[in-house]
Amino acid sequence: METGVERFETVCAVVAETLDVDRVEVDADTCSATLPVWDSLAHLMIINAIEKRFAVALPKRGAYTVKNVGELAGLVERQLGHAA
Amino acid sequence: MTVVSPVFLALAFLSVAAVHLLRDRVPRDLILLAASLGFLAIALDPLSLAGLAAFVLAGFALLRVVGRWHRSGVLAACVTAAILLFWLLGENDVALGLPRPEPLVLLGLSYLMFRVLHLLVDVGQGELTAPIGPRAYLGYLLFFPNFLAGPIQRYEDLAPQLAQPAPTPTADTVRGGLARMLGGGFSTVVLAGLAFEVFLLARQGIVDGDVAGGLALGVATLAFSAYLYASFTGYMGVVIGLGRLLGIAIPENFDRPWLARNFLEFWARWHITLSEWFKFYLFNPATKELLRVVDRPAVAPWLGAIGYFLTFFVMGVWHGTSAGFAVYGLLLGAGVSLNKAWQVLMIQRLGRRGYTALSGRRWYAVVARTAALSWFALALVLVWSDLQPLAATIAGLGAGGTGIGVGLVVAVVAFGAAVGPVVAGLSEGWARLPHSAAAEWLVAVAQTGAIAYYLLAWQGIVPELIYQRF
Repeated sequence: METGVERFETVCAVVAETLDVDRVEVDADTCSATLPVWDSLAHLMIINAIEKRFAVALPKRGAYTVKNVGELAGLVERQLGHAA
Repeated sequence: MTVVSPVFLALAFLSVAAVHLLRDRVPRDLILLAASLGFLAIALDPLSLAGLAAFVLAGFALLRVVGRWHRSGVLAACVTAAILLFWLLGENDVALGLPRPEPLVLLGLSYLMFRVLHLLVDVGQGELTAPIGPRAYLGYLLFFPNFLAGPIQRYEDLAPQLAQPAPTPTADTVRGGLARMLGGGFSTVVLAGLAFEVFLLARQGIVDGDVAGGLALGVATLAFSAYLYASFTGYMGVVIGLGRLLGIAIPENFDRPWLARNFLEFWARWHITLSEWFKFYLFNPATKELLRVVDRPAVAPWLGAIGYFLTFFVMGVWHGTSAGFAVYGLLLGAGVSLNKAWQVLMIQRLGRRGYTALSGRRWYAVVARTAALSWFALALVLVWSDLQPLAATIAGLGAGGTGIGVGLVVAVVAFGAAVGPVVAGLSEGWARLPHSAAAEWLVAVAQTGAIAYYLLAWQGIVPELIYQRF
């Protein structure tokens, strides 16, 4: 069972892998403004990868509008909490 | 009816006065709903009003259905029904094979449909869970500042504001709101009016097969783009300024689109709430599903290009079902998908760091911006000329004349692309300077004087924003 810190680390790793950037380039504040490669398409790829990794369906509005990695990790936490 | 017509402005200022004077006695949403119904009664003839009422009532009935049965099949059927009704009302001549029963002109029908579909999908998918009663539904859907041509404000953004009492207006709020409205009025009347007059003159000058005809085609293309930008940003200025006076935040729809670094970014700066709507309700679900089904990261960018093409093609044909709008949609779709394909190829060839470095070069930025803005200006020709007349014009001008027209458009846009960032920098510097009240008055007097001169002495035309008719 992953802890919250481990889940945040996993979210960062999935984002880095999906965007093909180094893990050190990704933290809670990472967003489309700080990583130009994070465009609309990349956003959808990240959401799909996160849903697959955590075996969870994220709510559409929340998933489409998260602004950065921190918000995305928070959304995953909440959704896993709902699912538990 | 435009946002600078005396009737609209009279209704606007009456509403502002009523909202603040009756703050403690009548809820703001009821005052604005009454104003919106009054606006519709003035703006539409009885037949059009009946058509609009049918759409609004059907939308509410469908909303009840999707709220009661949370099933994807029910939602799909309700969305299809709403789109079908929209098509029957908006394109009744095509849909029914009948001549359009004049004067059935449903101003703002598309924007009504976007709001209804937003409610249906979000309620049907459980994203909007708070109950939406008739008062909140009508107040949101018919809110008159947003009615004619948007912006497409989301329910969860507008409805809570409408339900709150109006905040006490400050001097800054009033001054800022009035200044924004006046600036918008200046753009709508004078700038859009002058550009439209140039467009009309140039269009008359497009004659067969000579240099002058080609130049006229180029001038008409540029003037129409300038008219559309001035008219739409002016409309938004009036609407957002009015919102401030009413104590309601209305979202921006433009962010200096002439600074876009490519065609994809252009759509994050032009008609933003429409782009966001299509992204949310078409691009995201369609592309996400494609990515999920194919599940091969190597082809993901190409699936994205397909998603972009589909989205922008639909956005194009939303304007109308004529062959011209279908080609307009194809051009928009081709523009964004080619843009995406170019990015993918350049990243494969140069790597991410190399492509980022290339994008940062000034010459590359000017070339990319020129390509994006020229493509859009040339695609817009299909908004002011249907396909057959355009084909006849091109045939008459020949390759030489058409080439001169296109060349003029690209040359002028390239000049604008080169100086655009400089102008933006100066503008931002000016905005940061502390402005005295005297300077603000000077600007206001100059704008008012220009509007008065244009209307009274010049007797110029005030063109309607074409988006109101879509």
